[in-house]
Amino acid sequence: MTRIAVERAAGPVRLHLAPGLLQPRLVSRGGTSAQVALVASGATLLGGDEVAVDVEVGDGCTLGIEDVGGTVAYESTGAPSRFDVRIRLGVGARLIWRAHPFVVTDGADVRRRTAITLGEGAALLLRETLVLGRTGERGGRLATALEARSTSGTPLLIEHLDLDGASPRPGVLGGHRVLDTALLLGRRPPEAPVDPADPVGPRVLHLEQPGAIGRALGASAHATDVAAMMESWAPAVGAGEGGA
Amino acid sequence: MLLADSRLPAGAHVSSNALEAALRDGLRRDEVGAYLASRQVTVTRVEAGTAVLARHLALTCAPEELAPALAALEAEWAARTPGRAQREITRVLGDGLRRLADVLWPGAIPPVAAGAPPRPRPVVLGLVAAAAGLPAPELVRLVAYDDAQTVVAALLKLEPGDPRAGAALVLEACAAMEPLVGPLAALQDPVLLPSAGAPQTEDWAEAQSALPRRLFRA
Repeated sequence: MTRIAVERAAGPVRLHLAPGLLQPRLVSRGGTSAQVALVASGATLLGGDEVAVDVEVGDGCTLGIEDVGGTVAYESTGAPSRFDVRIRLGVGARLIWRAHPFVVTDGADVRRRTAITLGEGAALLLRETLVLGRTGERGGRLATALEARSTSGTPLLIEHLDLDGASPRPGVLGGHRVLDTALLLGRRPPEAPVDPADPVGPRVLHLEQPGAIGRALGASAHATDVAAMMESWAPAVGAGEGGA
Repeated sequence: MLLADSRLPAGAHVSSNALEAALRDGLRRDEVGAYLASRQVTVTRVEAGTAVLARHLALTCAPEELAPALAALEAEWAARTPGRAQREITRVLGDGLRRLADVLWPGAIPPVAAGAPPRPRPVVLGLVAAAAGLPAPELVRLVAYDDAQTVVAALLKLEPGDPRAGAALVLEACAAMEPLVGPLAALQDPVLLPSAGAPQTEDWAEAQSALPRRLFRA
C-alpha cells in the first residue's frame, strides 16, 4: 500500500512515505506544508491488480499531491482490478490533489473506492478525470464509490457510479466518454461570474454541506475546462484563505 | 392509488424531471425510454430508498426520536443528491405534498426544526405511506411509477405524440425498477441508503432550473 502522511513537528513537517504500486516522492516541504509527487511504477492496472493509496494530513498541515502520468486500466482476465484511495484530513488540514486521467480501456473491469474523512475546518480539492477507452475505443466497466463524511459522521458526498463504455446510458454519461470532476469539500467555492453568452464549461453542483462539484461531460480529456476551475478554487483551500 | 394520481393537488405538474432540458440538449425522442430506465436505477432508486427509510422510521421510532432520525435521513439523501436545483425542487414538491397530507393524515408529518428547509418529497411520501398503511414494496413501485409518469406526461406536452405509446413507456420504466423493489423495500439503516449517480441527469436538472422560456420548473 502506498502511504503518504504529513504531521506537524518541531521545524519542518514530518513525512511518512511508503511505496506501493504508486511511489510517492517528496518535492518540497516547509513548516506546515509539503508537496509530494506520485509516480506510477508501470502506470498500468491489469486484471486482479489492487492499488491502495492512503493519505493522511495531520492537524493544521497542508499537502499537495501531483500525479506524474495518469493510470491506464487494461483488459481484465476475469478478475476486476481495484483502485482504493483513503484520505483522512485532521483539524484544519488541507489537501490539493491534482490527479491525472484514469483511463479504462475496452474489456477492463475496475472498481474504484474513495473514502474521505474531513476533520473540523479541513478542506479538500481533488481532481478526478475518468476516461472510458483510449482513442477509438468505447471503454470498459468502471464502478466507482466515493464516500465523504466529517469526523463526526455527517455525510458530505456519497456518490456511486456504475459506468460501462460498451452500453452507454442516456442520463448517466449519454454518449460522452469523459467525466471530468473537480471536487471541493469543506469550503464553498467562490461564486463565478456567469456569462450567459458562454454557458459552455463545467457545471457547478453546490452540495448541501460546504463543498461543490465542478464537472464536465466530454468527448476528450483535453476539451474540458475543469483544470481552470480547479485552479480558480485552489485559493479557497489554500493556507490562510477561505476561512474555516 | 390517490398518491399516484398526478391530478392530486400537490404541485407535481410543474416538473418534467429535467426532460425539457434533456430534449434541448439533444436527447432524441426514441431515447426517452432509455432515459426513464436510467432514472429508475439511479436517481429514482435513491428517492425510493429514502421513502422506504422514512416509512420505516415512522413505524419504529419513539415519537421523540422521530424528528432527529428524519433529519439524519434527510442529510443522507442530500449527500446523494449533489445538485442544488434538484434538492430545491424535491423540497418544494415535498412541501406541496406535506400541505395536502396535513389535511388528509393530520399529524403524520412532524414539523421541521426552526430554520430547517422543508422535508424532501420522498420523506413526506414515506411518512404518508406509514400513516396510510402502504407496504414498503408498494411504496417503491409508487415512487417508480410517479417518476416515469412525470416524465411521460411532460413529454406529451413538449413533443405531442401518441399517449398510448407514452403509457407503454411508463410500464417499461416500472419494469426496470422491479429487480430493485426487494432490496429497497428491506432498507432499515439510513447510512445504507443506496447511492447511484447519474451525472448527465444531474447536469440536465441544473440546466432546467435556469432554462430560458421553459414550460417546466424542473
